[in-house]
Amino acid sequence: MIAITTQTIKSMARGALAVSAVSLIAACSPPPAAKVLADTSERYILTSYHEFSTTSLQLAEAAAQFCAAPTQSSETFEEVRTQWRRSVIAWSGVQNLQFGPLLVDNQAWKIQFWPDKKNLIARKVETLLRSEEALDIKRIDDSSVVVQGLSSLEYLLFDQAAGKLDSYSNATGARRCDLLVAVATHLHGVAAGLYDAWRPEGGDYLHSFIKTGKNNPEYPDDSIALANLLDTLVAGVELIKRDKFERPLGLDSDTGRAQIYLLEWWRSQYAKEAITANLNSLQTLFNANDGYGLDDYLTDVKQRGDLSTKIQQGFTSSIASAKAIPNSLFSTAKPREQAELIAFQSELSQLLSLLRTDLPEALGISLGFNAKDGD
Amino acid sequence: MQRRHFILSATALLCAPALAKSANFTPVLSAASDTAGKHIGLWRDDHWQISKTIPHRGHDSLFHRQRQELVFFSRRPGREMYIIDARSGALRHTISSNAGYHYYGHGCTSADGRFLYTTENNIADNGAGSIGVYDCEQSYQCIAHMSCDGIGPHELALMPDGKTLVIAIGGIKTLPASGRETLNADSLAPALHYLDIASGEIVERQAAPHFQLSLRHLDVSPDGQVVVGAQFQGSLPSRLPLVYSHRRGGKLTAMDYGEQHLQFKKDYIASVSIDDRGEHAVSSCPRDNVVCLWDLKHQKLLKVYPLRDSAGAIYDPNFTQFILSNGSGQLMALKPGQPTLTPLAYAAGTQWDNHLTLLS
Repeated sequence: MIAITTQTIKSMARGALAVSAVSLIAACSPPPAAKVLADTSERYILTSYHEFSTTSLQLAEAAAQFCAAPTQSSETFEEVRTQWRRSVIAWSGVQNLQFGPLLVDNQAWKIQFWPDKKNLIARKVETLLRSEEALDIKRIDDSSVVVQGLSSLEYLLFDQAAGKLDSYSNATGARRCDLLVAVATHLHGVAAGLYDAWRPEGGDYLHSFIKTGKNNPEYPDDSIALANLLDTLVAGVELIKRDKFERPLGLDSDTGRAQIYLLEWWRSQYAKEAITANLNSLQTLFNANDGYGLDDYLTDVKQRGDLSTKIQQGFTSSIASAKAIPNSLFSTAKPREQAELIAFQSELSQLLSLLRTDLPEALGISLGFNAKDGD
Repeated sequence: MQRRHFILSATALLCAPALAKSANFTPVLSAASDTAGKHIGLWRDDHWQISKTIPHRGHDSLFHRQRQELVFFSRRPGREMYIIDARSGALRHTISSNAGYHYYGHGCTSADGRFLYTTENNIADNGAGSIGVYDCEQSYQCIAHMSCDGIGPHELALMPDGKTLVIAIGGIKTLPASGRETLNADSLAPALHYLDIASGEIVERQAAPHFQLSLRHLDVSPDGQVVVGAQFQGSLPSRLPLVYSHRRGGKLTAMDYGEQHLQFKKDYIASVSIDDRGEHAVSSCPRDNVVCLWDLKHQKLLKVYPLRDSAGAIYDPNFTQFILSNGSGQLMALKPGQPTLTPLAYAAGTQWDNHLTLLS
């Protein structure tokens, strides 16, 4: 027989109180999945698009200022480069999103043309410069995506031959400046358009994404919207590992040859920084920028606090490994023999395996039924 | 009322009936998986009108109009074909492929509906591609096999002349002993083959532009334009066009992507469908989470719509729309000219399999 003491009764009462407090909170606040969607969108996606829109505006302004001066100074030129780097970091924050306005008619290619295996950027930009057409925003908008966006600007700002300050003071300097300003302004238009498509005062895709339900044409329930977040995490780390790291450095097979011109942002030697920014943003997506994210959902709803912690650690140590690479990826002489690169590769493999295998299983969401071993 | 709010509520009004029980689309045949298992059936409005559980994944299907029967094919390397009465939903026949053969998951009928043609693997002949011929009037008895002179035939269709089959030759050799593993990775020979039914001869062949560009799914317009979609078997992304157009006697031409083909990271086309006037085609790209709409006259890409894990695509002439399905249980309408997809039905927890067929 169990003796019921005063102590037991007290603790039972406390337990009951605690339980009813929890259910009260649960009754008043949205269900966890809806909270994940709202916090991830508001605290990460929306702020990231805002950041990209803002930095691209500052880039366009810096370009205009540089070109407005009667003689171009190295100081204002460096400022354009600085703003370009900030814009790349901001773009890396949204680059991997696998849903929404970014996918409609391929907006990403207006922002970045990569990889450029045939050196099309140099050829098309120079052809456009040699033409006699006015180089304004309309001309850029009508042009091929190859001359648009951050990749074209990278050529104009960092190419060893064409992207130097001198290039702006010689005979074609004025046209080069026109192009620089037009492409930067056009880029800001694309970035601002994406932000506008998401924000509540604009196209309000935010509403579509977080107010799921029967009458929502795209997201009839939370699980489909959550699946898009999952896709973004997996596709993001896959792209970093395969396309931004292993393949250009020849680490994708035992016999792989390095093809460093496949690196992202090779002209500015900014590949490592962009990878780090990608990983930071994917981690921010996972934890909803310290709001109620997939990490909390895993812990509270799926009782998988262990996996949540592992994934957080996976991001943290991948980012640390990327930062520990002392040189630019472009200047790596023998990738296979550099310990920091192999360590980073190993961190990415572990993280990817958690995201691709453990996370979908824990969430009960399939990564893609027809996508996987289809027919 | 602000304009945006008006639009939102107007959209809500328009959408509501789509999800209620009302006819916004012609019923579709599909294979699917859900928590209860794998099944095949007929989906009408918001429910399975016919549903049959099967022990493995299904693939494509066809509606036998003359006989009012639904025909479902097993996914490779399955050996079963199911014939269901379209009115009663009763299973009429379960056909097994002949010993030494398995199905690739697709089939089509002769113009008069008498015969059924299926793509098959002649395992006994070291994985040679074969077209099975079945007599629908004799309980779908297999009466012959014709060689298609290529390994890994996948989707096939009857040309408008009623005499010729067009066959997408995937090129991939597999044998049941090694499952779905590719056995000839270095020597694939994907192609488009035209087979004259009367003589059994291949009367035209078009090799794929790259040996790893596996041609898998196709459709034919009423005037004989064939559109075929590819799945790349090499290092991704291939940067090769994935959708091609062909007319008898002409060259296999890549559809014009502008520069947009560069967006494909995983190079995988699942379904191809052409409308009843040969104006538009749709291709689904599940691994890239998009659906593409093509202008067939100018052979160029018109629009790219996001759709997660997109799968089946079929034209529905009764509602002048393409019906799309995906792995997340959604059936969506694509109407050329409209900026977004609109929902038709949602089967929560259901994963629609690769192909849809119209009940008409």
